Amino acid sequence: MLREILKHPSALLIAIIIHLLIVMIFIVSFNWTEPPVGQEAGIPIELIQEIPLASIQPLDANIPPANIEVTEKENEQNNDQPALDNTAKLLVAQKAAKLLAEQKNRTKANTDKERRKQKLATEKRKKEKQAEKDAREKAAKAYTEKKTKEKAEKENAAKEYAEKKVKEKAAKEYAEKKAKEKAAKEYTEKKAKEKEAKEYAIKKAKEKAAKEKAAKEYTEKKAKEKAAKEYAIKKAKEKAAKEKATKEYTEKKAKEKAAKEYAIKKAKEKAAKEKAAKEYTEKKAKEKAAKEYAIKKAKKKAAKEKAAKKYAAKKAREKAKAKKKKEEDAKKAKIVAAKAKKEARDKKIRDASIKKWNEKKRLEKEKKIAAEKKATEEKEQKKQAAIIAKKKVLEAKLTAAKAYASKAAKLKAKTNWGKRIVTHVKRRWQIPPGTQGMSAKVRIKVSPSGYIRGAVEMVRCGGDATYCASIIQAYKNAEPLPRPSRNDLDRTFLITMDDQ
Amino acid sequence: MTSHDTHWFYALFAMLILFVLPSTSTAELELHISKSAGDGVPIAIAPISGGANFIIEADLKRSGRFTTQRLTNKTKLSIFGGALSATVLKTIKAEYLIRGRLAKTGLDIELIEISTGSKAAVFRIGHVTNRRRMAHKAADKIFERITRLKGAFDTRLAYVTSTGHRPNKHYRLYIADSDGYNPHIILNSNQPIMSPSWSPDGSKLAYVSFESGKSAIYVQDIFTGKKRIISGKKGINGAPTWSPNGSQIAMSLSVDGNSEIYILSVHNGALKRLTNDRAIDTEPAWSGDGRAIIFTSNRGGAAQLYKIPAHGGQARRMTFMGSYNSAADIVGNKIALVRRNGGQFRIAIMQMGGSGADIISTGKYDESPSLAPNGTMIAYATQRKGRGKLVVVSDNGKSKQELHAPEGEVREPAWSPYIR
Repeated sequence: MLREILKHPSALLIAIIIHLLIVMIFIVSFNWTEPPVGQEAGIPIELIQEIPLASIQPLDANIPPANIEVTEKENEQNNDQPALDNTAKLLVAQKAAKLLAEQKNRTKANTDKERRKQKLATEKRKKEKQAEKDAREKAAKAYTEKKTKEKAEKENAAKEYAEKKVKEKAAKEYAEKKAKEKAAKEYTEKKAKEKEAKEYAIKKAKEKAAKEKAAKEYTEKKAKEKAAKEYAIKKAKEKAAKEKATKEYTEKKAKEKAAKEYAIKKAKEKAAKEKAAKEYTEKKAKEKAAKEYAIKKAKKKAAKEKAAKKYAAKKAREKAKAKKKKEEDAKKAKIVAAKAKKEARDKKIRDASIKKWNEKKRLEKEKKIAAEKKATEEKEQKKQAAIIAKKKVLEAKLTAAKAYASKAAKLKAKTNWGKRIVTHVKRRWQIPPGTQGMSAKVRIKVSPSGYIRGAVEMVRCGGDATYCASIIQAYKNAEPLPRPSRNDLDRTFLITMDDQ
Repeated sequence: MTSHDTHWFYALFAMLILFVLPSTSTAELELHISKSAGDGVPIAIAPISGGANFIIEADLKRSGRFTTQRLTNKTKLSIFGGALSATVLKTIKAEYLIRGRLAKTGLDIELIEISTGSKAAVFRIGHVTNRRRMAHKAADKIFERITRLKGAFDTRLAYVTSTGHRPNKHYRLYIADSDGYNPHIILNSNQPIMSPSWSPDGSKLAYVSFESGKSAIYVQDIFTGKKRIISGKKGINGAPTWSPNGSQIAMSLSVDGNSEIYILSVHNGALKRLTNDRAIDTEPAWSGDGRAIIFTSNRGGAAQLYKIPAHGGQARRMTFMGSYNSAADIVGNKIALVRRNGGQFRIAIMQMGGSGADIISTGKYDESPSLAPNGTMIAYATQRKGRGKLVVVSDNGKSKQELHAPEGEVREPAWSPYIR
């Protein structure tokens, strides 16, 4: 977390500032001179001085000060006259005692009065104090409330201010960010435009090359496709021919087989029939023989002989038939074999012929394809050569354009540099007096460090010696001249100097 | 056209471009420098404590070879020895930046080349009582570093003032700094004082004074104040001028009734007559090498400048332009003179051996031109609102400053040689 905070020092700083601001607002809003109120008030100290009643010497209000003085004066005068007798002294003493008694009574009355007064005053003061205290408490309460309110308001204001500041800052940051983004965007756009402009030529060239390449590829592809198609057709035809031949051959074979099988079947059926017929005949013969044996037992011997004879004859016939059949079968098999052999020979001949024909066709086709291919290749080569030549021309053009741009940039840089040299030298040329109308032309070659290589060459001096010397001196004084912006510049200048 | 032909055509075209372009680009770039619209070397001056920057600025400006610019902000850049940021330096539209510091030991100056951000020169001017002189010396150094000509700001001017009206007219011979400040009176008189001329070592002044009732030529040491009469002959004793080596003084005397040029040996007082003509020959001035004297004469009918070998010989007319040319002052091969131009007398400058001259003043009655020892400025007297004033103009006429001078009519300035 600390690392996160440290990653954003500005945020940390702002947080510290806001905290400090809140503390300052709190300090400022707090009234340090405000008296404590309520429970915090404690016991109020009353600064009331208790005056002892004995020390209070009320004056007789009836006796004016002038009379007292007079009395004192009279006393003094009496002192001066010791002749006055004790009567007078007594009278005075009585009078004084009377006065003292009266005074005491008055004093007592006054004291009582004063006590009452004081009591009243104390009560009044107490009441006033109470009232004052109440008022103060009220005021303090009101003040506290007011302060609390103010504080709350201040806090609100501070909060609002802080919020406002934060908002403003955020808005500012946002605006700055936006501005930066905008600037960055503009910059990016500018860069992109520049890049785009720069790349445009390259892109164009590339596009052209790509088009050419694509065209070439397309042509090649077409040719290949055509060749492939032709080849496929050829293959298909070949395949079809082969299939046809195979089919024919298979059919032929099947037919032959079927014929053979049919012949074998027929032979078998015939043999089976013959066998069945034989068996049947034998059975019949046996049954007949048995019947005849039962009926014609008597004739058995003769019949037996006859039967044996017949049997022998039959046997001989059957044997001859079987032999004949065997011979026929052998003959048939021989015929079939010969036929098959002939067919095989024929097929071989036919196949050889087909093969020959197919080979001929293939060769013709290959020859044709080769010719076509050759023509296409030639055409392609021509096309390729044209593209290469065009490309070369374009490259040459591009190189020339690049060279031209480079030279133009160099010329511009040199012109700007020359202007700076002109200004630099002009400021240091102290043209001699009385040389109006004179002019000169010099040639200088400046080193990359700004110093003139060799000497200033006076190409033409259209003034007096002092004038031309002042020009040479001007260049000497002006060294080092402004340096070239790029090192590859041609650094020779021809400068005309005059006062026009 | 077949494709092959097209290819050939393009190839030829490309080759043509390739061959032609280099030949055009390698051709020399021809530039043109016209002096008429030229300005001085732009130089920025940072504030220096004690105001030395203002003195340096005024000095450089007066030379007519600089355009000055004040750096008003006291930034780090303007503080002597402060960091030099190339980016910040480029914001100053000048070739050089001057920064300085006034210390107890003297005035430290840095001359910074703005294009490279390097210090072209750093120097210290030793402390002298006259602080203005320190600034003048600094300006001299800067001037020399940039123009390769010795600066002449730390030099002096002598001039004559007159106050009051006859018969209570009062004349004073003053010496002041080259910018007119710190004037000191070296001679007070009720009689006219004329034609002050500095000795080559800058320690003496020769002048004409009428204090004895008639004109006489005196030589006074400016430091001790001691003076002696070197010519008090009958008639006019006028226009003394020291030879470059200080051994002779050329003057105009009318011993024989007609004003002629004479040469007086300072060592033995021997007098030699140089011209002998019925016309008035006056205001001699030595050529820089001391071999010839140029003087004003009306032998051709009107006042013109003539040149004569210092050892004697035939005088040869030098000026042919203008109906009036006089009061030549020579430094190097530059001659400052007064020329009548359309009824107005103005200061012109020409070169030795040249025929043309440039008018560099604009007054009606400009007189007594005196060249600074490096020939870059001319002090002369002019009339403004009926009162004589001193003006310094640059030799190229681009700068003109009226000098601070005491009250009264100010006349006949004489610029001192370099102070040693």
